[in-house]
Amino acid sequence: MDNYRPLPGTLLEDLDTPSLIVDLNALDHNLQSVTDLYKDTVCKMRQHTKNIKSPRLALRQINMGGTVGGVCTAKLSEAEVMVEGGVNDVLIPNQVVHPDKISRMCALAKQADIKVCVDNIENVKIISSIASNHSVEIGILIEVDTQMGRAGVRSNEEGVAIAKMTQELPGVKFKGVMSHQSLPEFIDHEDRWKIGRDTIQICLDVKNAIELEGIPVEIVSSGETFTIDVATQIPGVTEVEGGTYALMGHRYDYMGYKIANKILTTVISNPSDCKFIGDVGTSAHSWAGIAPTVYSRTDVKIDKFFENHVVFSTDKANSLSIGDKLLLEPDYQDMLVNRWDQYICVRNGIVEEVWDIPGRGCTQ
Amino acid sequence: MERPIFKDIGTQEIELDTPGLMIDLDFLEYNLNYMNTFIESKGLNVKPYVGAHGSPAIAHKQVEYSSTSGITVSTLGQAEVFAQNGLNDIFISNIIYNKSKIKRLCSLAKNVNITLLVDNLSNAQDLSDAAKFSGVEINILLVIRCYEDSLGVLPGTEAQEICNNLVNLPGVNFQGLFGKYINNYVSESGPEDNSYNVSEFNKKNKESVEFAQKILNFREQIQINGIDVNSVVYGSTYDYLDVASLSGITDIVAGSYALMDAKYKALRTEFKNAARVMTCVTSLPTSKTIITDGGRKAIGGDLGSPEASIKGAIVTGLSAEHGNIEFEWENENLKLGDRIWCIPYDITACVNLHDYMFGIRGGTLESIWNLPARGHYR
Repeated sequence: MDNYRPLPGTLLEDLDTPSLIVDLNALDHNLQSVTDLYKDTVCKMRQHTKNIKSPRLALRQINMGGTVGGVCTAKLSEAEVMVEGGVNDVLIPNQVVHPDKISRMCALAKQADIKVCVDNIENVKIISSIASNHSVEIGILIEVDTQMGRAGVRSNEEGVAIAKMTQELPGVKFKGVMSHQSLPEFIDHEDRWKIGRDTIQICLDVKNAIELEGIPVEIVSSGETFTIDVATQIPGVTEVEGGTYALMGHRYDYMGYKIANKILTTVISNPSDCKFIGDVGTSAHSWAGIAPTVYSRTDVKIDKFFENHVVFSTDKANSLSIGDKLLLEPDYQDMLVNRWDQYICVRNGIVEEVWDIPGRGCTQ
Repeated sequence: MERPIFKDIGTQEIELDTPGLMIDLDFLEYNLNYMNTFIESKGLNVKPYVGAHGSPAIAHKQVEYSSTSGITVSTLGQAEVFAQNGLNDIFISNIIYNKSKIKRLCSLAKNVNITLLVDNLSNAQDLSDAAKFSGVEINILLVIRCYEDSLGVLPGTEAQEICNNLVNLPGVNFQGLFGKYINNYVSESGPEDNSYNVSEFNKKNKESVEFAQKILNFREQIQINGIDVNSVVYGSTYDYLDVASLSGITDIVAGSYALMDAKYKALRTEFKNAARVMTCVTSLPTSKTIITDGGRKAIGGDLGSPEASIKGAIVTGLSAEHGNIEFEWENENLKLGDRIWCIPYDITACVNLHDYMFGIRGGTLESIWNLPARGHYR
């Protein structure tokens, strides 16, 4: 594990490279936007920590406001990190199926309010039995597959059957329904709103079917960054699992949040007139198909990434020099943050704080 | 950090936590032995690239199996970690520019034999000044450039002039030349070039040998001009076989051969796939589809898709936290909690996501190795 801790007051341009930088002004702008948006709405934010991996950052949003007071995490191990970091309400919008892991989840439920998503009756039965042995209660949400073709029930009937079973079993408490949509690109604003509404409606259909059976549905947990605003306009949705919005990637520029996470890199070689090599590659930056953008240098393009190097091309010769530092703004930040152990937090070009990323690598 | 549930040595592999990086120790040892026996039969040395496993334990095994003590890393931070773990002859296959890094490098060189790349005289001068000031010697290899956009200089007058100057600089010890023709990359026009395609394999190997020959010709030229060249460091797991037959190559840098991966599986069949990520079935949405807990963050997907180790099963999608696997048949027998193993597409990308690897022999846990150099990009 790396442990680079530049002193507060260090200038951005004096930092060692490559480094993961967080622009605090941009971050706070993004968090404040959510606080403002959800100020008077029924629907609140349940920040997804897969994109930030830091309880400190999650608590910053919780303290600012607009949230349900808790987070959601990709995995059980990430939930443990959040609880250790002071978050006391965690939803795992994923399946925890192995008995070892369920035991560990039950141990965590002694310290915090833990909820998990299921899409299979057998899974609920095992959670019930282990939770009963531990004398804890695990909140249960039914995951609904709205269009991803991933996990989740695919009919109202399946959802109703699991809800009924959950009602009857000890150690588990039926809480609601959850769905996640993943659509990086939209043709236009209307398209985004239409797809957002249509997909969330599939989840609401399951909720309505369960309620028709006389089972109350307390939580409808939906989504992702692209429906942060859409969800507030859909009656019934109680919370949104936004993740990317906090640190942002250019893929979601249409949402209006600012890019807060950037990679600082140094030019270390100049093989030919308009080609330059930077000291960051796929291992530190990650790659999901689209290159990052070079901050405030429209004349510098990214050609390719090697494992430990990036190749820049410039419009004109000599427009960069060896030793120059550049900031790369990711297209997609989820996999990038997961490669790093610290955020170097910078405001107006000066280091203000260094935050650990204890959730990095928590895939279990 | 990964937070696996740790179990006793001797536990059955399938009882271990998921997703987890599992290493078949018999296969690993087979691969190390195969490579070293071959390379030694050619009178060469292997400088194993330890970024392809990240484990000091494996690095020590590689040294034990070979006739030299040298290893290869890609960053100064990795060199520091491997030095702290007892490796004492380290080639940093990179350029170190920044002044504070050069100070760290000289500090490291007080205890460890360090070799570094240069492609620029002013950088060499900085290294020389710092090394002289610290009273250390740093070994230098000049990088010969094979593409328009890679590190290094073309073999010609500029390179000759750098060599002429290097031999006279105090504190640095000019050792020879370095080249790398096979180099994974990604760009927006596709995941990478098609060098990992079987039909391209012979062509690429031929090109790599031609490029190596250019370096060797340049070596001859500078030797005629009175410069001693001790080393020509070249190659990878991809092209080692052809490169090793060239007279004049002294060291082969190869990494993937130790653990292997899906991209080399069909190309380098003499090595065995020792690394697999064990994942768990977490959802069974249809009779032909399963969802596992192994996604891009556990297996790696930057460069390509992993291979499921069950015949007829294809990894059709890898999201950040999940794997989607489709079967050719109806999977009535699979249940929630069952284990599925995936061979990562690129081993270096995969190990960079893990903090532990679990050594398996005969189906049970024999060792737990940590990967302390992970994340040392600086």
